[in-house]
Amino acid sequence: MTSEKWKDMWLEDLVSVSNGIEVWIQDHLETPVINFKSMREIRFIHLNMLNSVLRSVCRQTISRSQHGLTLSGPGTRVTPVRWLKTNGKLLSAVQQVQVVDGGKKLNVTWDDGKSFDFHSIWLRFQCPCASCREESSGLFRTRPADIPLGLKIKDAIKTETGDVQVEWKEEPHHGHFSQDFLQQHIYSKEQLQAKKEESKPVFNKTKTIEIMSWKDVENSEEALYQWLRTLNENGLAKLSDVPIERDYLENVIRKIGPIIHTPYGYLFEVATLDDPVNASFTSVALHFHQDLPVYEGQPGIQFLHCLRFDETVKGGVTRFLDMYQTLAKFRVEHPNEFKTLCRVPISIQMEYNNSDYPVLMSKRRPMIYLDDRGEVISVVWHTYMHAPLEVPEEDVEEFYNAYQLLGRAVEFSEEAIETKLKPGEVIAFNNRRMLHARSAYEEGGSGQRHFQGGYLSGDDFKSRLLVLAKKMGDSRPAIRIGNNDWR
Amino acid sequence: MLKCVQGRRRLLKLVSRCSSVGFTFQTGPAVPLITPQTCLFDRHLDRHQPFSSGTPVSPSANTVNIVDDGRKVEIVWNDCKTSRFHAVWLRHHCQCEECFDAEINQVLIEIDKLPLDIKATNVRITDGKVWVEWNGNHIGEFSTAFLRKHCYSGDSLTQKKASLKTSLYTKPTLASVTWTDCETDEKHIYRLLKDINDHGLAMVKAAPTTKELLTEFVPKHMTSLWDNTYGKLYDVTYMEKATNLAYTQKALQFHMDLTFYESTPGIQFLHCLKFDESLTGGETTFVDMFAVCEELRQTNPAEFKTLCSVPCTFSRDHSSRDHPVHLGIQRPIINLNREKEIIGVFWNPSVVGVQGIPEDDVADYYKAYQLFARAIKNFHTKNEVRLQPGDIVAFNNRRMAHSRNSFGVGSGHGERHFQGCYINICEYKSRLIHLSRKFGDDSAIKRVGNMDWT
Repeated sequence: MTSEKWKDMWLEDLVSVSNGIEVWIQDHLETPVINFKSMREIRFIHLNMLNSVLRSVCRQTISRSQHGLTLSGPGTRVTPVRWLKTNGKLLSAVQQVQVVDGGKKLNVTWDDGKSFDFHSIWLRFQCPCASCREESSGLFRTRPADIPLGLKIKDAIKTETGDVQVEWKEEPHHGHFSQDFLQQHIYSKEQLQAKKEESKPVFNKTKTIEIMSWKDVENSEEALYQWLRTLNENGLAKLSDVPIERDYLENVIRKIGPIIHTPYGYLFEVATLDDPVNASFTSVALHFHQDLPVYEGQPGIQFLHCLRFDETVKGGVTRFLDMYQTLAKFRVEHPNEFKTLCRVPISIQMEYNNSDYPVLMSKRRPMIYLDDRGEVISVVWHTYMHAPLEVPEEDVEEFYNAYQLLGRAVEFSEEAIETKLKPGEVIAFNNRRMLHARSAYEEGGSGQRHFQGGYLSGDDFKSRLLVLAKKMGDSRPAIRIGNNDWR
Repeated sequence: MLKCVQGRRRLLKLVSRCSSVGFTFQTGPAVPLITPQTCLFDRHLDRHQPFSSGTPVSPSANTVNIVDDGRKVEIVWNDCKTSRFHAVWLRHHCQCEECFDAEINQVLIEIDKLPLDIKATNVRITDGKVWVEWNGNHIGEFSTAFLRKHCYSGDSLTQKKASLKTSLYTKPTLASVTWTDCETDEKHIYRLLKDINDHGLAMVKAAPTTKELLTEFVPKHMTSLWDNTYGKLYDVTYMEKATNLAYTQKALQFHMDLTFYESTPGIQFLHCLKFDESLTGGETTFVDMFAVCEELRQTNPAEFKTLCSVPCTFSRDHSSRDHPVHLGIQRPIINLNREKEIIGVFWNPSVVGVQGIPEDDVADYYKAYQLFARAIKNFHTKNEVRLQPGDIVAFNNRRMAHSRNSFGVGSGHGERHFQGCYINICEYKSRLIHLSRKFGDDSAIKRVGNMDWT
């Protein structure tokens, strides 16, 4: 088999995984053989990890023969030793270690030429030994108040397995660090920058909403993972073939995490209600907004399950707008106004008096939060739930100017995605990133438009995504979800 | 650090003048403080502020004028204060039916259509309300209470913030209410929630020691329990072969629970079901992190600044449990609004793993981190409580860090069993506001640490 043929099948994925390393698989043999280009690449192969990677990449399990999986280098058959796939780069081995800067730092050099100085104190806080870290729970037992300030390294050696052992001066404590751990957590500017780049959102240019069948997602972890990845990357995703039953949406949400309880209850009806608490529960048009912006932890993912949308109903089309995409454009076209909205706080409020205990919530913060590198980490947008602006006089006109400009950018954006939900469809979207709107609808005589909705915490969504990613052998980080995380 | 009492008095006075936490220096023991067995609350009730259902009287407007060529409206109040409102601000906040839906509290004006160069063309005061006409084509009326409440001129914003400051609680006993009182009269729930807001923590005494009591008590009187992958209700018990430090007899250092969630749990309830007398130690201690931060701001301003600007990574990557989790968030330990007031603090050394901090910041960061840890550990004022069966301690997990002393099993098989749960911080505040309007004064609600810039 030529490498070209394998390339068609999955090598594109493998290339992104293994950083340009070519792989041939001869699985027609009794013992499947995976050939690598050079001895170096196969030096660190971990069998289980490789299996899960190949499974996710090939979408079919490579059946193992009685003799197990074998890996082969040029001219030789060798058994795997150890491999940790991380961001698609295979790791090299530690060549040497040296205490520098009077013990304040440890220089580690790898055999591919990479070199980095780790701070002594950084290493001390990462010590994975049993007295510093609980093996079963992963919790740290380190007591920061008891660690001497300005701790210095006394001595450091490279062990036989290539790991690094450190001894400190002021404390009778030894730290043992695996070479993989050190290489994965180099904290140079470039490395940190590269990591952050991987979690930047990529904007959906096609305006299509990816859809998968609930039948697949419900029964296959791989399908669920694929759907969650799509939802994370694009900000929205659909499910088809969801049973048209009241409260069935609970099953969909619980597949991922616990349902958030809000003033709307657990699951809420989106229909023309007799006693609506806000405009969402009427048939009027809704401008672009996020749900429940008054919460510190705004609902992360919103689900809408279409139960009924009769043909006779006019209007009621749902629209979505990627606010991150809008802001990226806005910041280039109106940099001063963008800065104003990062600086001047707005006030949001929600007051409902209809439930057992009235809801009286408010929040004051700038619309846009940035991290230390100027990247957007969260945005709040709800022009209806506006509470009286409380900012110094000199900021008022500047604020309104910026607010209106962004308001127009949102209302007249050409990037909006439109969809008319069909009964049996569920749409899920990132409530912190995607604004949603609805055109007015007329039910006429007997026609009806009825959805049920629910929310999932962004933290729980991201957790489920990353847990499944690990299981599938995908080490890519999650795309930013807008939950005020600086990463 | 100033060690003598005189010096500390001076320090606290200094802090009080220029920070968001006011210190009230009280005589009496500071550390340790043990809650006595009997409830003192009933005896103290008479000396507390009586419950008032009246709202404070708002000053009335004497005169109203158009200034700055129609761009602003100026009001002079009967207490000689002056407010200036931009015409565009007033237009955006017009309270008429066309512009504001009072039933659902939503603004109807579309921001993209608001004329930014709008001018006030006519103003007057009639029947205690201020009438404004804009550009000769729209009229709105504003109650004087509304305008006074939302005045943003001069130092009115700074003055408003003075009432939001928290104070360090140094009394020898924790404020408490009884279980029976809570079940019979809502005003005791108000008392409980208000005490938590003022002091950071409070107790419910003499509750039954039935399991899962919290799953009824809390939703009934406050709001639903916060649901998460750790469950709505959790047990804190001692186990022979425990895998988690919390389930051992060992001490737990100061921490706030679950800081790897963006909206870290708000109010935490710990219900003591069993705590046998044969067990020595095992007290729960609380420290006011807002107060610790303010002191650090004065004693170590450079380190304080570092903790506000270099973010900390809190993470929980736990795959070997029934429901694996991979939670985490990176953000500064201390968070300020633009007036440099503390609006959020996060502290939990057990979930602080790998830090993705640039090399230039590492040395400063760890120095500040360690100093802060020492400041917390050695803080002069802590509240120590040995919970009795039937006690429920309720505390603001966004403001108070808690720790546990180690305890000895002794010769017998003593049992220590608590159950705990959380409620969302925003929902707690909402309930408190509602009860304050009913029984007290909703303008006196202090910061809760939920990252709100108010």
